[in-house]
Amino acid sequence: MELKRWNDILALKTVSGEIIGYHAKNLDVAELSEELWDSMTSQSDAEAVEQLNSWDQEISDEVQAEKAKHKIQSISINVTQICNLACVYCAAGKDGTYGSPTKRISVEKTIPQLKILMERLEDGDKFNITFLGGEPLLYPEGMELIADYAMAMGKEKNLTLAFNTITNGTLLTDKNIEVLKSFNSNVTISLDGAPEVNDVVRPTKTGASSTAQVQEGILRLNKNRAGLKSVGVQGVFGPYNSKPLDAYKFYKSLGVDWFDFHFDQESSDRAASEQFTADLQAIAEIAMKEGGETALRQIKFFNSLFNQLDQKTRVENFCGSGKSYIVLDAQNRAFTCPWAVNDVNLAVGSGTELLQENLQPIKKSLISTNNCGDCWARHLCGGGCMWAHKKATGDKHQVDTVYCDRTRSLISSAISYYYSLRKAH
Amino acid sequence: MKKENQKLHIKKVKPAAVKTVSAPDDCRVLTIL
Repeated sequence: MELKRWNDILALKTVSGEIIGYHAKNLDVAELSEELWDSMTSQSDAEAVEQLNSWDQEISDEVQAEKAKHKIQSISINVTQICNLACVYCAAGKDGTYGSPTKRISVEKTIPQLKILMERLEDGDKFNITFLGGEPLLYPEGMELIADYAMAMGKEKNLTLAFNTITNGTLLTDKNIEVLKSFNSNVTISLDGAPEVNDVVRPTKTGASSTAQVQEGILRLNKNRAGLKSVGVQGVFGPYNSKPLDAYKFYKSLGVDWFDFHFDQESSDRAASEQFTADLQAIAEIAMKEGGETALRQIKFFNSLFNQLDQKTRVENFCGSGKSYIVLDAQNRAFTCPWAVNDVNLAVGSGTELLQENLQPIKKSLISTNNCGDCWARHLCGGGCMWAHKKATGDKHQVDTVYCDRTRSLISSAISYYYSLRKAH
Repeated sequence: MKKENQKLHIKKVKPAAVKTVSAPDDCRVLTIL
C-alpha cells in the first residue's frame, strides 16, 4: 500500500490500484480519482487540487467529540494475586504473585471502595467491572460477592453495568460457569495459539499442557452461552510467539464470539512488530474473503475501528488511564493502569483512602500530551498505550516509533477494508 | 465542492448503521464510544 499526505488528508493506493482518501479530523473515507492522487505530488490538475484543498478545510457537522466522562466508569479488580499457570512473559513475577504474600483481595475492603466510586455516578451512567488476577477463578466467591454488591447498587442508582472476566480458561468448571452467569459476564480467555505454541508460553506450574483444559472449558462455556454476554479469546504475540496467523486458524475452531490480538506491551522489537503487522493483515484478508464484515468484526481491533468510522467519533485518549479507569490490586491499592500494579510509586490510594488529588481527572487529551498533532491516525488511535511508550522510550508521553508504525499500518488496513465494505452501499 | 461540469475527484462513502459484535470493553472503555 502506497501512502500520500496533504495536510489532514491521507491517500492510500492499494495493491489492486484503488485510491482511498481519509480525512484525519472529520473521519470521512472516500474514493479518490487518479488525477487527484497524481496532483498530491505534482499539482498537475488544478480542479483536483481545488477539491482537495476544499475537502481538507471542510468543517464537518457529522463528526463527534470523544465522549470521555472524566469520572471513574471502568474498574479492574485483581481478585487474586496468584495463578495456576507459569506463563513465560508473566508481568507478575512469573507466578502471578509479584512476590507478595497477599494471595487474594479482601472483599470487605473492596465493597467500600466500590461504594465510593459508584456513589459518584449519575442516573443512566455506564459502569464496567473487569475481574483480573492472577487467575480470578481461583476466588469465584469473591467475584460473586463483589458483583452482587455492584448489581444491587447499580439497580438502586439506575446504572448500566457490564462485567468482564479475564481468565486463563483452565478453571471453567460447571460451578465457576454458574458464577460467571450470575452476573452475565463477558468471558475473555487468554490463549496464545494452538497447543504447540500455547503450551510452551502458557504452561501449568508443573510444566504440563494447559491448552487441553482450556478447550474443555470453552466447550462447557459454549453450552451455557445464554447466560453469558460474550465469549472471546485473546493472545499476546511478540518475539517469542510470532504467529498470530496460526493462532487465528486455531481460534476459529473454538466457536467463540470474538478474537483479540495483542502485541507484547513490553516489546519494541521492530522485526517482531512488523511480522505481527503482516500476520494481522493476512488474517484480515482471510476474514474479508471468508465472511466479509461479520468475520472482520470478530477481530476486536477491526470492530473498534469500524465503529469509530461509522460513528465518526474523534478519539483523543487511547485509554481511560487518569480519566475514567482505575484498577484495584489484591491488596486493595488503586492504580491508574493494570500494568502499573505493584509499583507503589504509581499507586493512587489504598483502601477507602483513594487519593482525591490523584483521582482528579487529567483534562488534557493524550494526543495533545503525546504531541500527535501531525499524525493522520491520531483520532483513531488516541495516542497509544502509555505503558508501551514508557517501556520503549523511558517516558510515557514520548511515543515509541515501532508502536506508532505498527498502529498506522493496521489502521490504514482497517480504512481500506472499511472503504471496500461501505462503497457497495 | 464541485462546480458545474467539473469532475468529482472525491466521492465519500456513507457510514452504515453500526453492526457491532458484543465484545467487552477494556481499559479503553468509554474513552471511545
